[in-house]
Amino acid sequence: MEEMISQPKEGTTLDPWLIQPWGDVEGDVPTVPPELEAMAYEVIKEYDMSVSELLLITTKPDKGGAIWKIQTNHGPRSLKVLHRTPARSLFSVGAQQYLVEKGARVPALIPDRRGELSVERGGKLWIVTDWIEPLTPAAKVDLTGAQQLCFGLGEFHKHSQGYTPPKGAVNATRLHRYPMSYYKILNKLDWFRHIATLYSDLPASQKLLSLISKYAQQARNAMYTLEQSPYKELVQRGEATWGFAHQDYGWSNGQVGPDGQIWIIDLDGVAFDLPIRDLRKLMTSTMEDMGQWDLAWIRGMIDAYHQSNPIEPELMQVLLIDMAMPNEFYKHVKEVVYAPELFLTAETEAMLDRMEATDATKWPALQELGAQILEAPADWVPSLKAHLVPASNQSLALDTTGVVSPELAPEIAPGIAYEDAPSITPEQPLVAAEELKSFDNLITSIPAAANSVLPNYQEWVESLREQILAMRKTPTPASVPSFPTKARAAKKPSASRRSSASERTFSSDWNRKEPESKSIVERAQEILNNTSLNLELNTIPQVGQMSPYTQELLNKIMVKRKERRRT
Amino acid sequence: MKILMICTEKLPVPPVRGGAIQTYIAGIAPELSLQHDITILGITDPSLPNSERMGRIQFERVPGKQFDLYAENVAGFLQGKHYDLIHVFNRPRLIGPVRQMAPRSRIVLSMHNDMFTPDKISPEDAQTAINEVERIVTVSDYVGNAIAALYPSAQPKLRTIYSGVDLGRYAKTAEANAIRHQLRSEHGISDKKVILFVGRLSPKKGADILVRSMQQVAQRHSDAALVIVGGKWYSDNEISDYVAYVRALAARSPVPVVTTGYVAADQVHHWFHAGDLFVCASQWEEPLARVHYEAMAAELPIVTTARGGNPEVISLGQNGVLIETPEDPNAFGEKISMLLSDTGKMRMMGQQGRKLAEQRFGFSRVIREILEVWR
Repeated sequence: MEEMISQPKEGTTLDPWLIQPWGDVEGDVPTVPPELEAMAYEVIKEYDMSVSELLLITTKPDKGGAIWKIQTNHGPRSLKVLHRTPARSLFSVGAQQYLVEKGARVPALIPDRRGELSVERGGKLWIVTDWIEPLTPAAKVDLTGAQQLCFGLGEFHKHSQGYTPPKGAVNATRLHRYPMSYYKILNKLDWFRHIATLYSDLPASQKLLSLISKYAQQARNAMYTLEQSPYKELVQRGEATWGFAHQDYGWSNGQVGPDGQIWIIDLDGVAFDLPIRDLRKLMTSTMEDMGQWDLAWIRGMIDAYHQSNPIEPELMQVLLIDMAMPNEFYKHVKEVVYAPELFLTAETEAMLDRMEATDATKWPALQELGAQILEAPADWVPSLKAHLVPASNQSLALDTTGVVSPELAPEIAPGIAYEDAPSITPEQPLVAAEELKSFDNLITSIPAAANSVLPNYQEWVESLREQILAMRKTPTPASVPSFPTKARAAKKPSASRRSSASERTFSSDWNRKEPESKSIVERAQEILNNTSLNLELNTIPQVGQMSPYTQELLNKIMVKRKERRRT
Repeated sequence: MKILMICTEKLPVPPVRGGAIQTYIAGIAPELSLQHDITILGITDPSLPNSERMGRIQFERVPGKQFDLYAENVAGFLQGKHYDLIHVFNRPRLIGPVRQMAPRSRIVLSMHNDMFTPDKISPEDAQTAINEVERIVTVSDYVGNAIAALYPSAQPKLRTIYSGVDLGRYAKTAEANAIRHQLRSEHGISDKKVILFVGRLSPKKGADILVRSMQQVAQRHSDAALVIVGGKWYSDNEISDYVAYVRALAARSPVPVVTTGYVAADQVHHWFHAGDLFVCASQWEEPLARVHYEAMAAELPIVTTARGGNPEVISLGQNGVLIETPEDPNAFGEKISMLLSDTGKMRMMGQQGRKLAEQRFGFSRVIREILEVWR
């Protein structure tokens, strides 16, 4: 009897193909399972458009997500399969549509033939949106670009106020999660301590160990201060009042669009939150990139934000507390759990030193801004109980005549790149010295290939794929120890650390001279500079052009290869 | 009687995607269906039809995943139907809607964990649920006490029905012994004292603490080995970080640590055959983990934490020992070392555990008690 019930009967259903993760990391070039590609064509049929070209832009193999740029009779569009659960994605699709209706600068969702904003296939939601082009990163050389980003972010948050998710959608909220997320960070600092202790023989272990207590105390202080702050009262206003935050906002998901204004893309992770979450992340990571907390920048960024979405004093307090958390230390060190041997290197030790220097400038700056971070008493035990969110009353309107199916909700589409696709920080050579030659060969062959096959871009991509595959099959010599990718992948281009690298000049015979002194980005840049094609790395290419993606591709290739070898 | 069992909105029944409650229902339903006309209402799943009959059981499936959606669909399902008794699993918030649609049915609620806390259900809804059900069945006294502490009026309706285990499957038979030797030899731990952990890899379950305790265990038992059975259940990043952390700890463990990854529910007992000592390292107040029954049925002595309902199935020193400070690796190290040093005691505890399981924790007893509640 029990046997009978434990297995589903075979052949009783259509057994449709379900999208599952198909790998840990994106391969040398993005690929998806053939079933998924076939499904993409099926999804396209649900829309009133004819598609002449379908180009896979990026994938999330570990989660089961992908983005295609499609050329349609209505112009370029984005086709995206959202990797989260349908109910979760429904929240984001509804949010994007809400923003579009409010006039926010986000890509418009294209309804399918039924008028629905998403299509469910393979157990995931799919969306089609406008492809905004050109998109140019805001200038990072001076405060202006940062202010532009902040102003655009404020507009985004303002537009998001009043949103209520469609029926059947997960109520994605982080509004009440601040104490919990602080607590988790504090807890994970303990993990780092244990790892540094067990791996005490590695170069960076002692340094890391010596810092944990300090940052743990910072986290305790921030938690303690949050407990006494107006946070609790603020969040009681509820989700709709505050609206949602992007959760992954930065220099790539906010870019300058054709109208010279900030456009915001990749909205699939939006969740209800205090709006300062996005602003805090943008500011602390920018300061980290700059190597010091620059009061003028912070004030400028807050001011710019304030102009489009005013920050009341109580919210400002919470923003300052959130800045007092050791966010950046945590963000840069958390990868240690994945491969301690590869992380706890001399490079990491140097990185920790730099972070120390940056952290030293943080406290005077916070004080200038009016932060009053309390000292948590030694016997104070962080408690989450005080922060438990009461469940809402059963508000089920038992309208049993219209039982709602999950498909009945609006949806949305995101834009180009997933922000957590690895990006490159050029301070360390990504490619081991022994590998440079073969990699150089690969890149130098690009201009020729591109020249000969343009305008048939797809063919060229195919040929590149083949070359890369061939290269992958060739055994490479043992690599020098390297940094785990995730740890080094600062999500935004890093101003100060990058500048020292990019100021170097190149000699023409670079591939014979100490190649390890240059980053692969510089190499790619130089090669591309020498090509006959005029490639603008900072803009979206026209059809048939290559460039930012090529660059991204090349970056990913090396990142991913290293990752694979590590495992 | 015509009986409807209503599952949660999370996972389908049969447990094609796992789940403790789903496994429980699938385990008891066939025998219950010999005496009653049983329908099981749960959520749809791409691999399962929306309506089917298996044996004597009718399965009905409606879209779920989201509680509100599921509740509406459950209510919609009930419209125009009558059941003599409706047994709701672990969702007190469903009682209101169910009562509204089924004013004349008897309603029983089974509680598998803390779903009555104020963050899970508003006091109004909780009171409604308590008023409308005739009985609240809990998987441990701990779960019942937690409800009564919040809502004293629930007290008279509470009844603990401990879960059960398939006694045959876990018995130390010749076949079990063969599996034991095969698994141990496959993993190079034939001559080791095998410490067994079975559970989801999450901070709540404490595998990290257990791995860290091996530092101390190794001092006295260099021939120990730790086996961690269970995969990452969630793919969310929080859990991935944790799994990586546990792996990093394991890589520097002075004794071998075998990680099996996900093992299908119908294979897990193989690992119980292979172990010598079972450890539950739960850090949270858990309702009462099923692994305790399995360890007892497999004749393994138990080291578990004084958390939630776990102590209820341990008679101290008889079938296992308790850790009072579960966050302390040394506390585990000490107790584990002590037991590993005394094989006679371990054997005795294993036998006591088996005896206890046979007396009190078989599925037939669960079924008998459920039938009593329904009567």
